[in-house]
This record gives sequence, C-alpha cells and structure tokens, in this order.
Amino acid sequence: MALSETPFNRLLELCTALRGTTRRKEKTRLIADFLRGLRPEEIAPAVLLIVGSIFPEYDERTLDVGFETVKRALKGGRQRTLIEEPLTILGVHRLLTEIAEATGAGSRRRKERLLEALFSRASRDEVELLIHIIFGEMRIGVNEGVMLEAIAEASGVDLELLRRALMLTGDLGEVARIAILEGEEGIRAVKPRMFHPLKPMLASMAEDVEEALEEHGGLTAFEYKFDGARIQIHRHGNNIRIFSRRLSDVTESLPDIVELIEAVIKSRDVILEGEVVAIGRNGRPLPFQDLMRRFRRVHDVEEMVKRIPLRLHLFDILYLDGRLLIDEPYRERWRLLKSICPGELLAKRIITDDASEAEAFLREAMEEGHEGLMAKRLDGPYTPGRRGKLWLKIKPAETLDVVIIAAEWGHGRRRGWLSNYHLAVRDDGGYSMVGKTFKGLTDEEFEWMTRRLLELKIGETPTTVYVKPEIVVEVAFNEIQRSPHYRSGFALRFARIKRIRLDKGPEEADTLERLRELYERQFRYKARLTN
Amino acid sequence: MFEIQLSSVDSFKRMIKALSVIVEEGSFNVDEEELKLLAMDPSHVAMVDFELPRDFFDEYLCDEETKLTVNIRELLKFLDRVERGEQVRMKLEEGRLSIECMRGGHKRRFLIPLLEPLEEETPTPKIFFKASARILTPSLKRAIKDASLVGEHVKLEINEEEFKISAEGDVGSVSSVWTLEAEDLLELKVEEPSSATFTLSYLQDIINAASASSEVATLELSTDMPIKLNFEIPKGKLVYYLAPCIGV
Repeated sequence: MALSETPFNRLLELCTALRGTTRRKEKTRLIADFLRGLRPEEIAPAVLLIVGSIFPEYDERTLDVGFETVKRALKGGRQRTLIEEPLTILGVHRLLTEIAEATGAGSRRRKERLLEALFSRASRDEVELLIHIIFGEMRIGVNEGVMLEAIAEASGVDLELLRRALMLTGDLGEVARIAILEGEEGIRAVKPRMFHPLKPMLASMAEDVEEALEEHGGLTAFEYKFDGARIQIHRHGNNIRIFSRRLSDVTESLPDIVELIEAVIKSRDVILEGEVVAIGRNGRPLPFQDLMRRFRRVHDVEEMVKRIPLRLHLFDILYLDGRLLIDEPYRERWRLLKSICPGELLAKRIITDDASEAEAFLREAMEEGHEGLMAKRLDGPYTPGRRGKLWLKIKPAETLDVVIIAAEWGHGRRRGWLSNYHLAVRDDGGYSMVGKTFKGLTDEEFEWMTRRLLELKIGETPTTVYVKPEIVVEVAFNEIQRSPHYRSGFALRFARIKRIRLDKGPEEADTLERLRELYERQFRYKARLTN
Repeated sequence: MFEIQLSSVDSFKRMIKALSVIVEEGSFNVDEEELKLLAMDPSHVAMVDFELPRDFFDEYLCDEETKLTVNIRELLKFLDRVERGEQVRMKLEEGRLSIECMRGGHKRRFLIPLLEPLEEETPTPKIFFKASARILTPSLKRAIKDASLVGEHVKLEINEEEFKISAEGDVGSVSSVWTLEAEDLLELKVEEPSSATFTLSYLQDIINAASASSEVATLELSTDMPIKLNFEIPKGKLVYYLAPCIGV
C-alpha cells in the first residue's frame, strides 16, 4: 500500500488507459491493479470517481453544478492557491464534496470559487477529466458491471457475492473497500441498513400469460401491474422513511402514506415494497404524470394530498423484525406480508395454472385502468437490482424507455421551448440515437422539460442543446425501422412521449439489444401476416 | 478546563465575523496564554492567522492546551443573540461550548456541539515580500468598493512613488492612487516595485469583515505572489493571506 496520498494524476493515467482499450478483460485488469495500489481510505472515493459519481447511489447530495458554472470557473481558472501541491484523489473527492455541501445563501459563489480553485490546481488533462466526473460522463466504458468485475479481480471475492452486497448497500465504493480490505468474510457480513434503500428487484418482459406460465413451470402468481410509482418503505421504531424506485427519499411528499403505515402495519421493524397509485374522483387511477407531481412536491404538500389522493398496494416484504427475507421464496414472503398488513392493502393477485383464468385477470386489470400483470415465481427469492425471469411483466402496449441526449429549440407556438427531443437507447456504456420527437407533452411539461434540460446542458449550437443523459421518457411508436441515418442502425417511426419517467435513471433505459429484439419480433410477426 | 468572560461581546463578535469569511468549521487552539486559529478556506485560496491574548478578555482561564472545533457560522448566530449590556461567559462543558448571557439575576444559556477537529495541517506560506503599504482601512475599503463597480479582479501595485489599486472591465476602469503625500497612506516600503492581481470578491470579503475591527492595515506584496494583509487590532493578531490570479 502506498504511504503518501495517491496523486489525482494516477487516476488520469488509468482513465486514459481505459479509454485506449475496448476489451472488458483488459479494463478490469487495469482497474484491479489500480485499486490494489491505493491506500485503504482511497478505495471508496476512487471507485466512485471512476464510474463518474461522487456519492453512493442512496446518498441525496448532488454537486448541483451546471454548464454555466463550470464555464465561468474555467474562465476565472487562473486563480492560484496558497499551497501549490498536486491534486490527490482524496483531495479532489474532498473538494467535490465541499462543492456539493455548499447550499443556501451565497452557495453559487462558494461553489464557483471551489471549482475555480480545483481547476487551477489541475493540469489541462486533469481539468478535462474533472469535467467528465462533474457531468458524470466518463466515456471510458466502465459501468457498475465492469467495476464489480474489477473489484472481484482485485479482491478475489466471488462476483455474485459482490453483486449481492452492492444491492444491499447501494454503495459501490463501500463494497470495494470491504472486499479489498476484509475479503469474502467481510462481504458476506454485509447487511442492509435501515433507512438505506435496497435496489428494487426488476422484471423481464413476457409476451403473454402463456409465456409467463411456461417460464414459471406451469403455476405462478399473477399480480396487478399498477400504473403508479414503486416505493420502498422502511419503518423502525417511530421512524418511517419512504424511497422511490431511484432510491431518493420521498417521505416528505407522502405524509398520507406515512400516516397509513403508522395506523395499520403491525410491525415496527420492517421494510416493505409496494406501488402508490394516484386516484381520480371516480376511483380510477390518474395518469402517472399527476402522481409524479406529488413526488416532486416539497411545498404545499397538504394541498396536494387533498388534490391527488393516493392508494397504496403492497406486494413484498424484504425485512421483518431483525430478519432479512430476500432469500425466502416469494410464497413465504407473501405469507409474512399478509400477517402484518390488512388485506385491502395487498396487491390484487391470483395463483393459477390456467391460462384462460390468467387472461381474464389481465383483462380485469386493464379494464380497471392498470398497466397489465406481473407474474412472480412462487419459489423465487428477492434479487435486489437484478432483472431476471423470476418476475415477468405482461404489458399489452409496447413502449420503450429512452434517454434524451439533446433537444432542439421549437418554432412557432413552441418558440422558447426546447421541444424536439433526440432520443437514445443504451449501447455498451454509451447512448445511441434512435429518433426524435416533439409529440406527447403538455405545455406545462414542455416548460418543465426546457428548464431541466438547460440545467443539464453540456454543449450547444444555435439550434440544439446537448445535455447530460439523465431524463428518461417512455415512448410509444408505430414501428421500428432500419435506418442508415443513425449509428444505432434503427429508427423509431412516429415516436411520441407517453410520460416522463422521473422514477427511472438513464442506467435503466432500454438497450440497443432490446430494440434489436423488438425489431426481429415485429419482423416475425409481419412474416406471419404475409404467409 | 477553558473559560472566558467578556463584559461586552461586540468586539469579539466582530473578530469571529472576520474569521467567518474564510472558514466554516474553525479549530481554535487554546492554551494558558492565548486563543489562536490558523486556517485555510476550503479552496486553499485564502488563509487567516488569528490570535487573541488572554488580556483581551475580562477573565481567561485555561489550564491545558485544547482544540476547540466549532461551526463558525453557527457560533455567530448565537453571538448575535447576545444583547447590549449582557455579560458573556463561554466555557467548555462536556464536549460542548456553553455560552451564557447574564444581566442581573437573569441568565440565558446556549450550547453548541463541538466538532471533530480537522486533520489538515495548515502551514503559513513562506514568502519574501518586496514591498509594503500601511494604510487606513476606510480608505482601502473605499478603493475596493470602487473597483467592484467594473471588474471581478483587482490589481495592487507598489513602487517608490505610490500605492495603486486598479480594476478594469467591460463597463469601464477604476483606479485609486496614494502618493507619498496622501494622509491615509502611513508608510510605504519598497525593496522592489511589486504588483499582483487578485479575485476581487475574496479581497472585498476580507477587507470588509476585518476593517470592522481594525483602523490600520499593512499590505505586503511581491510580484505575482500571495498578498499578506495584516490588520492591526488593539490586542492580538489578524492576518490574512490571499493567493493571486495569474494572467488576467
């Protein structure tokens, strides 16, 4: 282990080397070697910086530094410092933390001063790397998956164990630190912490109920798939915190749910999972967008509670009275959930081996205004953060979750708004464009979108603003076409935005792989038609 | 143990305010003789070197060297609550700093948690200054305020004839010149003509905050090196260092 602090320049060398190879094995080897040479307290910050973040995922702090601030800081970057020492990894991480923690009156100026000082101590290449880190776009092809493999290589700990530890803690840096310093024993001892959300288990897509039944061995549980927002509820003693699908704390916007939990849940040491649905006057679900307004709300929460009432549907339990339940089968988890929660709060479900019964249940769900069904394997454990076949979603209307990577200024009625959006799918650590759309948003949403995109700006031309890939939108489309125009090779025909997915991060957008699958599938379908 | 008492908190509060422009979390070192703080701002651009001797206080009791780390802004908030005519006693109490305001038989008490002391060592910069100017702080403050009308940077120059503060910007340019005849300029020492440019906002924060406690300041310069600003206070030491901007 190195005695003095590792210079930031070493991290730069690593990133340059990583950019120079596309081979995954080579990348993991480079990172593993690097991690092994760090001081114990440097491991976690370095791991986070390499994947382009500063804080672990559950951490609410953000840099809150935009394009303009960076530009101004670069302009004034000739500010010297009193101690002209080279930057170290820890020093950079400390300064970035300071920037994030500058809030309240005068924080803009403090952030700018700190940035200026940071840039002034960095070489030109280091400045460039810092900007990549600040905007969370490393362009070195290292995502969480590659990093986990590198940690496995550096520590000798089994990859699956690391993955599990990551899902439990939501902290990549901490997992690396424990793995390298304490080995397998340390990683096995990792437990979820109350009020630190676990990553939610994810579902794959199934074509229809038959496919789900077949996949799950002939018998499975079907639950309503609600058109709402997924939440994780942590309750310990008198404390309740609620987290969104993206692990942000949304407790303050959901006082009614907190009250409900207090009133009806029988355990005071529990982690629950469920979906909240906004309810209209006729008792039917309101569009997702209205629900998201509740989530964003910090002021006038009381009024929103009245205007947009929520219904809670619980469907899983991950922890109960000191016991972690994620390795228990679904069937047993449901039994425990039922034992502490009144029946009307449970998601509606049936267990069946009969496709026509399942089909009828799906119709019922759709008629009540929900999205479809979830099929859950009865003996399946809860696998945080994993998308497998234990859970399958059956959604009759096909949509794609895509990321906005740029937007063009509108004309005519849409003048003054960024209203034509460049849509992209995930592709090997980056994003590939698959189309544009200006359809589907309300005026209010255009306005919100314009504001948000300008905050995310990383470059611009007179017509187009390029943004940090951050906003996910769900789009409907008529057809996927082959396209020589886009590098992805595909274009969405008549794409229109169904909703803004504030509950999803760019890392959860659909992939080029998935697009290709859908393309093939529609091709098969068409082929059948001509047969 | 550590305990200090003041019959009026005003001048002490002004000093703490002067520190708050540099540090957010401040580690005070206290010993039998004095209370000291040497700290850099988080961006490492500015530094303050501060000392108050025991006779600054009406009462000063300290029997061993102690480090006292507090959030300066929070401390200021509490000091702001002290009213005219109230006696103030501050003491270390079970890991907290207690502030008591007393008048007659009435006593109010505030408790501030102490923070983990910062690990970082703060070395004072070793610079050989080539020129210095001793000047009345109101005059200095005025010149800086003038400069703030036009630019974000301000240039300080000392040569055998004069001390000059100037700034340039898109909207115009501003300069203040003190020749040897100027009454406000008390002393000018020049080994070598020197000039350096600084970020105005830093300099302005420092000068505004420090001039509330000090009538006279000595500025020491060397070309393109950090500046040292020594604010004379009746008892104690209030010195700042500020790194320059290059190539503005």
